[in-house]
Amino acid sequence: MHQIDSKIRPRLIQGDKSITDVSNDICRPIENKATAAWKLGFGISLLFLALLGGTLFWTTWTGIGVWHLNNTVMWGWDITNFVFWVGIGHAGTLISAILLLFRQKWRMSINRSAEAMTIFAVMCAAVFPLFHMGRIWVGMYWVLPLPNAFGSLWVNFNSPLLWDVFAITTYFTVSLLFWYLGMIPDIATVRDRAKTKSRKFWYGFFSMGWNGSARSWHRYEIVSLILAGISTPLVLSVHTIVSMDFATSVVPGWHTTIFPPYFVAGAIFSGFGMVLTLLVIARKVMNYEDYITIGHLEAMAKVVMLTGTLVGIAYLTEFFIAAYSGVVYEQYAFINRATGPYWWAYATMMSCNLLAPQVFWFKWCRTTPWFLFMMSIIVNIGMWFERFVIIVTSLHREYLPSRWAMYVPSWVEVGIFLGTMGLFFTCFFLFAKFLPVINMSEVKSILKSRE
Amino acid sequence: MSLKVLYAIYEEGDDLLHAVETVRGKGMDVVDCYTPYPVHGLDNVMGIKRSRLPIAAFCFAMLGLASAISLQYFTMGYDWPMIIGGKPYSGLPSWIPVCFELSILFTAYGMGITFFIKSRMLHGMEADIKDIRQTDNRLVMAIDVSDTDDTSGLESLLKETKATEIKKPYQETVEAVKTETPKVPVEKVKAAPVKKAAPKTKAKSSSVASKKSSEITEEEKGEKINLLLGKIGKASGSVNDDLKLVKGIGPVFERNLNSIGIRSFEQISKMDSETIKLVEEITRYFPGKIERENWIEQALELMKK
Repeated sequence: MHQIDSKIRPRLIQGDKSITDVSNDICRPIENKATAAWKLGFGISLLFLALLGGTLFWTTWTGIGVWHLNNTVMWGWDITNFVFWVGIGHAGTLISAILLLFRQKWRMSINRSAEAMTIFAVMCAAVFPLFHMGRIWVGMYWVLPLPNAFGSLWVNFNSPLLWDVFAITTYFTVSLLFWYLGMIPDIATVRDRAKTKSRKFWYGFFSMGWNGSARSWHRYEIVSLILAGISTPLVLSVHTIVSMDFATSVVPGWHTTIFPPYFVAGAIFSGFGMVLTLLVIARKVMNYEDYITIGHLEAMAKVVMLTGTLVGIAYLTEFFIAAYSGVVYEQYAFINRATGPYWWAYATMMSCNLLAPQVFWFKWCRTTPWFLFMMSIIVNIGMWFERFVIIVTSLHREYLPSRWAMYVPSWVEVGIFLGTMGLFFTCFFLFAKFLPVINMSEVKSILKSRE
Repeated sequence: MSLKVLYAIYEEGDDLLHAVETVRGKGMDVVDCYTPYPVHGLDNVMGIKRSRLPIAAFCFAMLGLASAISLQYFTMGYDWPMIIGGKPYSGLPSWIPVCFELSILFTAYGMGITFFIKSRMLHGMEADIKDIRQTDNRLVMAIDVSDTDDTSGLESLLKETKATEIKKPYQETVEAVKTETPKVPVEKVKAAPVKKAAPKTKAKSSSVASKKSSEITEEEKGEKINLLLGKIGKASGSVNDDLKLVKGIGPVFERNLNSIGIRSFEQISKMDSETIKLVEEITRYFPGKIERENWIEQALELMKK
């Protein structure tokens, strides 16, 4: 069949692939022995995972006093890291749900890995609220509506912290279902290509007897569409609720109505930053440059620029509203952010999130992989500092000057954060080795199309 | 339910789509197709009834909402009422987030489980595979041939639709073949005794079929042509562009287009998704090919020359 190549819109999948090529390319890591690079990366990740185990054990064994939190700054790196990871977890479902509703076909090469990233990031995020409760063994009764032995007290449904529990667990489980459901046809492909017994068994087990019947595909597409439809408001709700942890309090600097949209934009921004970090490397190492093309990277860079600018506007709006409100506490909170003892954190946040992404106005910056990788790291750093600025600089100088304090993390807090990196990358390396990183069945359906 | 089923194997989704249409047009029953990727429009040409899963989704959402409200009412307003921040015991507005999240949770899992049950999927289940490549790089069409013994006619018809392999028919138990209401034209073909005659002599059957199809659409066809030309305009008498210059249009299809009054690039360039559909219906052309090959853009280019 004829195919006309447009100069304006190159094909989504390069290299004239046939559907056989797609299966061969994407099953390659699963069907071959692990490469040296994979072993090295996986080994390093395991070391950091061990660090996570060690520091969490130390926190639980000794008590939460091993962290340097104090009465004034009662949330520090723990909640900073929590919000940081949850934010990263937003790109996956955004890519697969919202871009599916908008019929953006370029999502198909990247949605699988972005969803995997979502799930692993939310796992990392969950570590912090769980362990910051201190006595984790009774934490179950504090977060879940379970009848208990303390006089049958229930959880408080008026509290955003509890909404958070519901939002994050729902987000995690629904994303997991969405991810798994999307993977079933591909697992079946691996099953039917399998030469070894164990592969036949395990992929057979998880493929749930999928045979690609037209009737199943029909239902499958309806289910995907509905899941996308409900996941879209879900993504928006999750970070909205996370932002309410802050916005419903009366702490100057937190008590603002702009928080929900601003947090959502920030989450998409940081999520796409992390997707870029992972995919720029993965496409090179795993040789997927025909699938994750420069066009894909460029599209993501544009999203990063848009959301970065949105976040920047939110920063400026916050500042303006504080000045305009006439509330001295609010005004001081913002002056203190920019010029107080943590000014360097504020400066990092502003330059990484508002200024840096503006380079994406230039095509070269959007289409050069090494530069994109560098930018994605800057975005990650900037978004971590955003959360640090919001949490620590608002808390450390509240209403009463006699309560003012400073906060520096302890080695345990730093260790836990590095440890969650280990957890994240361990999961990602396992995913890259044992599951198809690109959605084969969807990519096969767009080989001929040029959108 | 026991059926005798013949399997035809294809390499391209478009070929399969076209083949299903052809086979169903002859009044044969396509039991099912097995494809490594979703072929868009296949459910339509196979006449699969739209699934009612969305209704199930709504029910699960309501169930989730009801559980969320009763959970919060029971704990906060009934079992251990407490004044928190001076708010009423049953403060509906602050229950909204949990209501929303639980509705989503119930919908997603309810839908997922219903989908697995309806598609008969379970962990560790043996897959019902017709051809081992059907999840990898081949598309399989299963045709019900219980009524005929001689399938040579059908086989050569399938060869014409670019089937790369044909697996000889054999007796098989097929579970739960739903009998959908076939599309109107198919039913008409079925009513005439074409079905059994079709596979016997190929030449005869194809001529019968083409006659049939033109008979069916004769009046509708006229209407559709009028509608079409009303939208894209009539070519003025002298104009007679060489439509073959558009990549994808061959001499045969050019004749077809001319016969329904399309003679200029200008007309093609004015097409939109609706008129393209009309053209496809009138000429029984490959669905989606016109858009895929971008005839409109090509026609615009050619008009400039």
